Amino acid sequence: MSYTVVIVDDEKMISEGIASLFPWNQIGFQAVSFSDARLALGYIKSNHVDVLLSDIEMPGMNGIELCEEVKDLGIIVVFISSHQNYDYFRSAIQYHIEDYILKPIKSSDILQCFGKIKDKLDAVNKIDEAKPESYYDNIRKSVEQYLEKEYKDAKLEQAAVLVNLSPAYLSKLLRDKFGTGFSDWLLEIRMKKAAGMLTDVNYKSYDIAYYIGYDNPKSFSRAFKNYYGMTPMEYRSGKIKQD
Amino acid sequence: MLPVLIISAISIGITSSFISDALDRSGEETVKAVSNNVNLSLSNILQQNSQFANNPYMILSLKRILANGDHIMYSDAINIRSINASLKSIMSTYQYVSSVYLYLDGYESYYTSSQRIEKINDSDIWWQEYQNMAEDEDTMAVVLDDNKNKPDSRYLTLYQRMPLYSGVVVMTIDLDEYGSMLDSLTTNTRGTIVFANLSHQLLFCRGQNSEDAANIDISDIAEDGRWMRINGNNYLVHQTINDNYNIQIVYIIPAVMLLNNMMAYIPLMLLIIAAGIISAMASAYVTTKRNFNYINYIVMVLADAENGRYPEITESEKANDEYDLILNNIIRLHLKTEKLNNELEQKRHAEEVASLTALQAQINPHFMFNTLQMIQIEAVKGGQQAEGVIQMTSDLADIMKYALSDPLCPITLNEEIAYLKKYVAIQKRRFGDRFIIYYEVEEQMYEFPVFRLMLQPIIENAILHGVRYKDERGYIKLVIFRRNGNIMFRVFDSGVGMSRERLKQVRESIGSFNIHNIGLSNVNNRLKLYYGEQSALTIISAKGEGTIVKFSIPEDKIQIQATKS
Repeated sequence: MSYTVVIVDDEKMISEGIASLFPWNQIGFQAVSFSDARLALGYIKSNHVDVLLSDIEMPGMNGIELCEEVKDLGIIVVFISSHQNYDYFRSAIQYHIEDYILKPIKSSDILQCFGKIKDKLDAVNKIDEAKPESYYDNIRKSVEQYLEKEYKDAKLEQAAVLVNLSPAYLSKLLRDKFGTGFSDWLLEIRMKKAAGMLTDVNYKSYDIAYYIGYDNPKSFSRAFKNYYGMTPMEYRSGKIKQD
Repeated sequence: MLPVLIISAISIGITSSFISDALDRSGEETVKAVSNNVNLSLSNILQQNSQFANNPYMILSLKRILANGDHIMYSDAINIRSINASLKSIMSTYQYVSSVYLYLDGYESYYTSSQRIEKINDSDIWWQEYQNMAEDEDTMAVVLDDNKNKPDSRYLTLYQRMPLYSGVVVMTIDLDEYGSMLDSLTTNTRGTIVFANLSHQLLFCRGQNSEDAANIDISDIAEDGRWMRINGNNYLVHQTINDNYNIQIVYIIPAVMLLNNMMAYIPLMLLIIAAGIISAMASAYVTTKRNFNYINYIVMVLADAENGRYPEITESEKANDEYDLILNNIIRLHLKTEKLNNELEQKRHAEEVASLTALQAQINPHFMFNTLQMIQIEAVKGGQQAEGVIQMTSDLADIMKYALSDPLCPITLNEEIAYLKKYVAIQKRRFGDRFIIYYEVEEQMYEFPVFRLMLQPIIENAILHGVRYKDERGYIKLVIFRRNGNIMFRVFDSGVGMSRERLKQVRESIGSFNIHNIGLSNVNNRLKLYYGEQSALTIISAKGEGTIVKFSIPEDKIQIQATKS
């Protein structure tokens, strides 16, 4: 079952771009895009639409006017805005909009926002999709690969984009299915990598924090000591002596 | 001695003019008081009328009673009872009201406050006057001799037409009674009150000079508070018109009163003159002595002020004499200079904010973010390798959002560092691993309020002028910690450093207040503006070794800044 999302932005390139380049199908949505709010309104009135994702500043009919027109249709509205403008947010609150996304839109923004919307719609429509075990295994493999490769700058949001899930959902899934949270998993990989680098004299010890993704060497030392029970320096001198 | 005499003479003149003024004022006040009294005491007639206006059933009841005499219905009896109650209360409260009549046009009877229906007799004087009342007038005041109740009494009779129905409420006032009540208002000035209607017909007079007053030419009284000659005597005349009843009220005060009042002041005045002479002599001695003391004191204060010591006298302190005044002026001048300096500083700040805002306004943010969005979409079309472009555009967008926000809106150090890391992320794409930046920030520092773009220009400087030209890998470290009530900020870089001459140049350029001089000097100026001179940037550098840029902010200044914003 997929839900329909109508995307409106007066820049045709943006509305079509958002519709075609984000993996809507994989997160359970079907996207239709318009570059004119009045055409979008015509579509909404004659088709079943679940979500409206609309820019605010548009010539002709703007996002707030469009929102006013569809307010009785029970459509979930998300605004796209260029920057934080309090007037918009006041209108946004007035029309009970679901959420807003700031331009430029990132995949993680979409996944986060629409993950929540899908849960909400599923709850309304009483849908509880059961997934095969292989689905979860694939997610686990993807995340593991990502962490092994990108441990330096790894972020939950990025991992979530890779598997087309909202960050919150991915985090919950990892904890429920595999018993370890994203950050614990990342820490484990980082500490193993750090230990490996400490035994390699080609790495300056001062640089290792940076290589494994810490921007404060003191936090790295603290984390390392917590994990291995000794400071990175103690670990290094111990290993070198063994050799 | 001479001045004392002159002053005495002047004071006599002033006193007499004061007494005449006072008389004038009290005449004016009496007229107003009488008018108010008329409003108050005669308001019953209005009250009676408004009762009818608000309740048409009463009129209907009155109609039936006047028509049928004693044969009245139950509901009418109720209404009549309420009319009676109100009439009765008027009569008992105001002794001078002798009777109230209610009459509806066309009937042969009228209703009286003595709770009787009386047949109209053509010889009734009130009735004759009512027949003569002009159609277009709502109210009328006449004085009638009515011997029916009390021989030789005169009555002020007020007519007011009913508002809804053609009929009239008539109130007769016993002038003897009313006059004695008015006497209480005129005891101070012993003048005479004259009532006249608007056609300048005299209604009645009350007071000691009634005979003269009876001859007053009412039509001649145009302005207030002037002297008039009546029957060879001089009078101070005041008047007012009571709009509610169309009555002109005149009050005349005899000229003798002025003389009488003056006489009362003469012994007192003589006493004052004598006291004046004595005190003048005494004070002359005291003043001269005191003057010398004060002059010495002022010379001392001025000498102190020249040396930068200011006496601790608050501005609100009241000046007791001319010397305090002089001192206060000197202090005020000093404070004013301080204030002007302050204002100048504020103005500079305002100009800076204005130019920042102008800079922001030059680029339409909507256009920029849309463009970034398009770049990102184009990049995604390009495939998986586009990840870097996407990250860069999103970092750039975040930086722009941050930089475009209200420059006065306070932010925390945490936000500033988050923004700084995005900026560094973009620079890293240019320089790769050629430099490493570490942030050593004490945990509890993150919530401190700071101003926007406080650290980024310093880091930018370290990257572009420090580690960039280094052959081996460069290190930059931002350290923020608390020490002795100060928040200390340090940016170390292991870059190429600066020669002594170059360092001197840089130090000079960041010290000038110039908004076009961006980067370090901008940060430096804002630090000084927000936290004072002691927070200015300090730069230490050695050629080939690296550079340290540091500053500190007193914690109490941070709190103040936060509450200001």
